Amino acid sequence: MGRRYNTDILYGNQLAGAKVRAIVEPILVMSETPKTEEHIKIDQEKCNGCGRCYRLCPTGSYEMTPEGIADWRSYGMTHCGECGLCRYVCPVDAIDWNYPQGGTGIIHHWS
Amino acid sequence: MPKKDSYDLIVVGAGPGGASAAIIAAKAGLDVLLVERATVPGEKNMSGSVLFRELTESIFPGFQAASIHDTASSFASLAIKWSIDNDEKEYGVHAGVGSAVMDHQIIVDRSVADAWCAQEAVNAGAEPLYATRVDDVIWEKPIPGGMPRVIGIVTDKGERIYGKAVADASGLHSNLARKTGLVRYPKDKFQFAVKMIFELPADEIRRRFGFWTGASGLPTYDWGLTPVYFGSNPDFYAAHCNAIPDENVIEVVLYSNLTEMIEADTNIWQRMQWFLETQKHWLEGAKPIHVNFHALNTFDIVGYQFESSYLPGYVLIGDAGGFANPVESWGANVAQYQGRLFAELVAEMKENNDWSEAAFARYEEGWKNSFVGDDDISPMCYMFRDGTFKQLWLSLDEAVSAAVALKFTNHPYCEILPAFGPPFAPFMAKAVGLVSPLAPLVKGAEHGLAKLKDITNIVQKIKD
Repeated sequence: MGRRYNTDILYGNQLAGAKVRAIVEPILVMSETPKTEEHIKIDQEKCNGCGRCYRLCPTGSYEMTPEGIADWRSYGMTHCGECGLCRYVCPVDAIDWNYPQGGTGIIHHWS
Repeated sequence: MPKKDSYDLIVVGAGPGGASAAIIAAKAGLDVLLVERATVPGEKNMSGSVLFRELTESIFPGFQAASIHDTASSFASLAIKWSIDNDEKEYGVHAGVGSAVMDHQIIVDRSVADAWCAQEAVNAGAEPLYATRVDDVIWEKPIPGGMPRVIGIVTDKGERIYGKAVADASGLHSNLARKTGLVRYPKDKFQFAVKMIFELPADEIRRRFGFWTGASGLPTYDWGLTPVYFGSNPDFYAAHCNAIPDENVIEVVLYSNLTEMIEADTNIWQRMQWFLETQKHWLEGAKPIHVNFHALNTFDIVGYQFESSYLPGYVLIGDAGGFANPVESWGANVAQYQGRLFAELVAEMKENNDWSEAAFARYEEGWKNSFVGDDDISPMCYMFRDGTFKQLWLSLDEAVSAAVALKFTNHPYCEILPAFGPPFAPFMAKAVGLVSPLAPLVKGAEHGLAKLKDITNIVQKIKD
């Protein structure tokens, strides 16, 4: 249903995915206890390929497959900021969001 | 693993609300379990660093005397709100109302403060269960005609733990609030916030932000100014630069409306890059050392986003129930108040052995009759709605401009942002009735002052 293709052409001039990571990564000094589970699940059957998660995720954790479906990048949820954005931008509720398992994930401590 | 399978009170989340509930309940002799998904409380915290001094001290005696106090006391206490895209200068310069209670509020690094407060609760006898996410509630077998009752929680390790009362202080995106169905999450009601921490030597921060210490007749805090920016519509964006010289850091926070971001097809970093560009004069040479972000309720906070704040056996505390007040940067203090209130009620419930629906309903009554439910708590919210907010900003603008013109034309940053400078601090002090060194300058701001004076009433209510 209404899937888009060739997302790089569509969104090539947008700040998304790898470009976001290039900005965020140098300052992404939040330490992390490695996550033990895929705490956010994408229902790829439901996904309508709108690409919002891909374009808006502040850690660039999503990508669009060649078929135009949202997917995790190869590094998966390594740097997911646990912010909840993707859950609220998905128009078809294809993203089943949760916090990572207790005791895992990012650690915010700067002072 | 919890030591028991049943408790008087299970507190989910060891932030300000949870730790407050846990310490008060533990001191009242209840069996308390304090569950937290982080390994150390506070390390998952994203924002919400404003605490009320008296309230915090009353719940956690010794808070101010503890080493975290230094972090807490010295902060650029005042804010000027300034429209960046001010072609029409619609909002002008504005003093943050939250700042008017600066003598009563403290700013903390929550990763430090939460850990300390939670430890106080544990020292008082609460049992910690950290590194544990709570995934679900346990429902009582339905009784025909009765309200559904929560009788416990299920953890991410599948443990089932029972409690006569469950306090959901698990913050934004609460799993439990979803499972119990009490909170609505309308998708168009979200802001997205990104926070960056920049490192800069304290002296340089003080110089750039116009800090000075111990002005005559004022408490001996560092006083300075932090710029706060609103777009032409606060639903569009808001941003602020907080100087925290004791920590050698400047905190830059940008809020954006999520719906608007979707429509504009904008990643938050596009907007942040643009904002940092406008903030060069504060941030030049500063090194970014940390970043975090989260989605949160929008400024349209008037009318909290829950159906009910309680069920038999279960209550919502703080952000879990959408009790944040982003307009005034309040939230942690509301959570603390609600946590203490509920713990006191649970202690009574145990004493009277009355765990009825009516007993839990007293929680909602309680906070509605407190400063949390008081319309006065949110004069800014109402002003946003009825338009008086605009008037307030304009009248303060006059006063600030006058002060700047008189005294601070030589301030190093006046040319760029002419309203920034220490004279504003006594002005705000006047606003809360502390001192009036610049009394003649505030003549144009009676309207704003009347609104700001409401704050003193609120502070009094909190003290009571």
